[in-house]
Amino acid sequence: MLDDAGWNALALSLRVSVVATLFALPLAIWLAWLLARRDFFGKSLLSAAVHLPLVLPPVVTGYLLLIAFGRNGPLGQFFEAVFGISFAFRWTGAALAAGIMGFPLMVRAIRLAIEAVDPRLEEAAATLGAPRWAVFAKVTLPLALPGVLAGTVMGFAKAMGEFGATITFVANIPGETQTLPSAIYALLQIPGQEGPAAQLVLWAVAVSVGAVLMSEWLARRMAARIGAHGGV
Amino acid sequence: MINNPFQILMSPKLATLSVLLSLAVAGPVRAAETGLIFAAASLSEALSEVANSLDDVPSLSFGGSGAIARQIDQGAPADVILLASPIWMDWLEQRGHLQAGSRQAPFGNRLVLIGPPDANPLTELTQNSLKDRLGRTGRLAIGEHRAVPAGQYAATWLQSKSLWSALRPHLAETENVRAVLALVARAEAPLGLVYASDLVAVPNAASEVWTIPQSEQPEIRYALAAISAKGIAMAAQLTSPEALAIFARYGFDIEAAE
Repeated sequence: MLDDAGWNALALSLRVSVVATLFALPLAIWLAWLLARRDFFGKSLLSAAVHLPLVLPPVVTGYLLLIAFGRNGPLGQFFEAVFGISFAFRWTGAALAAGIMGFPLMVRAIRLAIEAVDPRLEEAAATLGAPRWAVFAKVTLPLALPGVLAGTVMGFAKAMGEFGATITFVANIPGETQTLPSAIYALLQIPGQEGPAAQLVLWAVAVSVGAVLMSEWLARRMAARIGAHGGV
Repeated sequence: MINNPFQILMSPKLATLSVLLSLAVAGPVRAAETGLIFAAASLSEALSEVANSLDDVPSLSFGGSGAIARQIDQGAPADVILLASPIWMDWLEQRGHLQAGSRQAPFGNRLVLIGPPDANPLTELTQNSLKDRLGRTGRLAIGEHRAVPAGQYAATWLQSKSLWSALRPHLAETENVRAVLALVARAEAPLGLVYASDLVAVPNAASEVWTIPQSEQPEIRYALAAISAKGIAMAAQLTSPEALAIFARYGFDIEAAE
């Protein structure tokens, strides 16, 4: 029931959101842990910087990305030279924008989950000789896992819906940067295209409902596993 | 504990809240007393100057032509609308939103092929010269070719030059024409198609690399109409010789007026 352009947009959105979430997740967990468990100079500033994409208009975030990661931007040239990755007008740029917009939501949820983990459990593990990484991997992370999962789903959902930053940074190129929201927006700008737009909207709804149902199912399984330890 | 649910209607807090709410809702209605114009984003600089030259300075709201049309259809309180393409005005006319006889096409625009500020002019306009300028990864920035009027005009022109299918894989389509200008200004896109008036409004952002002759120009017509009865007089003010002179100074083509 979707035409080729619709399928392309849906497939691209899924790819962009999955890649954005996978790359953002480790960094989000690390930053969330840093903000939850460490005190250091500039912590409030770091927290504010993480939250910037939530408060800035998405087109501003997109424009800043364009300046930094465009073909002529310093970071864009760095990634091109060092890793051979270019972001300008490519799906990688859409993934970067989607990841950055979803990042604060991930960090928030994960940070709250880590803060809810009883520090005495971590101390106990440390006194038993576990190195810091093992305390984190075997105590903190498993107990915070429902929050990590919630953050991941939020980040993924935000990535699926991201529009303003994406279209400002990498424009609207079918098959390359035309994500589901860009395709819906473009269709709504044409008289009489409400029907095809509604089909894409239904798919967007289906994906988000599916993601939420899957996360609830995973959360129930996890709760059953860690429930015995009095987890979150 | 409230036994009678209607008691809550008499609660003083709720009364205060409802007064505040009605004040908040009433606010914008008063602002519209001087008149409200919804207009395409490409008109922002010129129309602002025209509006400020009027005795009763109207409020201006700029946006995409499609978004404006859908807002009007849902009862937005505009008195006059000025769109970049006749397509959405046709749509509104069919749905009976326009004051009868108020529709006109007061001025036009021209397309210009632009490059970054320091770009050299093209010596010829062919598939190869354009592709050379784009290089391996460069893109020609245009407005979204189905949705953004400037993109529709750009596509029409490229098709008339038999360049459309060759350049189609090398396009970067944006949500509005000013985004094209931003991409070219930052040399993210080596080429772009914008209105002549955009270059007048933001003169140092880009340079014209190829002049599209008048005979090849797609017919670009802005569409003006009154939505409310008050809008009829406002529409006349916007098309007075003084107002048209301001539009002409901003690069709009008043010769094209019907």
